[in-house]
Amino acid sequence: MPTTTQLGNIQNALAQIKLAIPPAQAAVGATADPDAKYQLTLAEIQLVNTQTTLTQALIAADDTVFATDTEKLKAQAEVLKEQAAKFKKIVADVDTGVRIAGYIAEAAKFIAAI
Amino acid sequence: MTQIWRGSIGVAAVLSLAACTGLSPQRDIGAVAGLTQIQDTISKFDQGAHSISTSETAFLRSAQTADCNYQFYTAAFVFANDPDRIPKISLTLETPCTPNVITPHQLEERQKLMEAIVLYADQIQAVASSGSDKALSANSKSTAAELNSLAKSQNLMTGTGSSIVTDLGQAVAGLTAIVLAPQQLSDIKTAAASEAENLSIVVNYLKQENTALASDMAGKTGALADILDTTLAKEKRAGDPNLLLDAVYARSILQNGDADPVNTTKQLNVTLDSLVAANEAIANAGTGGIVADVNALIAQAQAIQKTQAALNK
Repeated sequence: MPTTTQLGNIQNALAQIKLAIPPAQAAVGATADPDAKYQLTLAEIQLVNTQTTLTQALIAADDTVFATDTEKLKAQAEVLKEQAAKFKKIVADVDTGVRIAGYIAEAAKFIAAI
Repeated sequence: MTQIWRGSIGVAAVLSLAACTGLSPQRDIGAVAGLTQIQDTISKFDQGAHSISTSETAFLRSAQTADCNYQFYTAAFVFANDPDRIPKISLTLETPCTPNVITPHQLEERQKLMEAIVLYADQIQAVASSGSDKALSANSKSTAAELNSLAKSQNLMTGTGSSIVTDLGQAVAGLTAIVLAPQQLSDIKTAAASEAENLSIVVNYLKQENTALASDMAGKTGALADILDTTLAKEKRAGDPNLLLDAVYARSILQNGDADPVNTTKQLNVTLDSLVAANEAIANAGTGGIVADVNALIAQAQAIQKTQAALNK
């Protein structure tokens, strides 16, 4: 059974990922170069995958499912850190890239604390 | 008209409500017309509960479909962009998808929550009806008994021990208890008041979950659009002769889904709120307009069903 602290960390991580997704999707749309667009889309998929795992963890009362989700999230947090760097490097609007990376870094912190 | 007056519990129940709404319990034409209207309104309340149950299930299924579509399209995207001629991952076209969000088991659990609400509304409607037998059918009673037993043993939802699960169990036990012992219902107003909190607990849980699922669906919808957009951009650069047809197909894929799941879910949640409001109106019949609240419930239920039907076209 998730503790209140764990649930709080999941909710906080989810909130950060939700903040990151809209500008990430806007950045993909604003990128013309197909290779850059491809890299950003892969990064976006990782964000959405993490949102799904966090959502599942939030609504899963089952202990086994929760434990599996937690393990999955720890792995996803590592991948997310790489994606944060990608957003910073590729997104043409520097401020937007930094902002997305910031949300991801915060989400990763909360996931690490679950 | 005379049928309205048959049955002891029903008459007492409806009369009690009629008195609370300011209607004279005397058997003059005006009172009979008022009682008929109340019975009709309670019947609509029941219809509203059934509609919401259908809409909630449809929404949860749409969350599963969105998840499965997303799983397939992301796998296809990775497969298509794998530079190796022998792909590192296989793309499975035929295996049925297992949704990550709202698994089939979780869907069943939520359907049980909706069943409890529907059984409660059915029972309220039965008590308000003109028939002498206020008990629901044997099938309904059997379902109520099963749900009640699962709820009391805290096996209704997975994860025994969680405070949310405990609250939901108690709420479902309460909602189904009145179906198992309708003879203990003195009147509709009292029943609605006693179950108001239980109804709210279930509705609030569903609303919270719906909102989380809608955000998840919205993220997937956006990602799917970007997958298609990126694929077309790569085809354009490569001078792919199929670009036009692929663009047309990509457009139709996106048009088949819910472009704004967050808004659709807000509509569903408003409908769930309407059910609670209508129940409150029944419970506090002296101060509020039952008819207005139940009509609002029906209007919301019809609106969400219309939206969902349009999305399924």
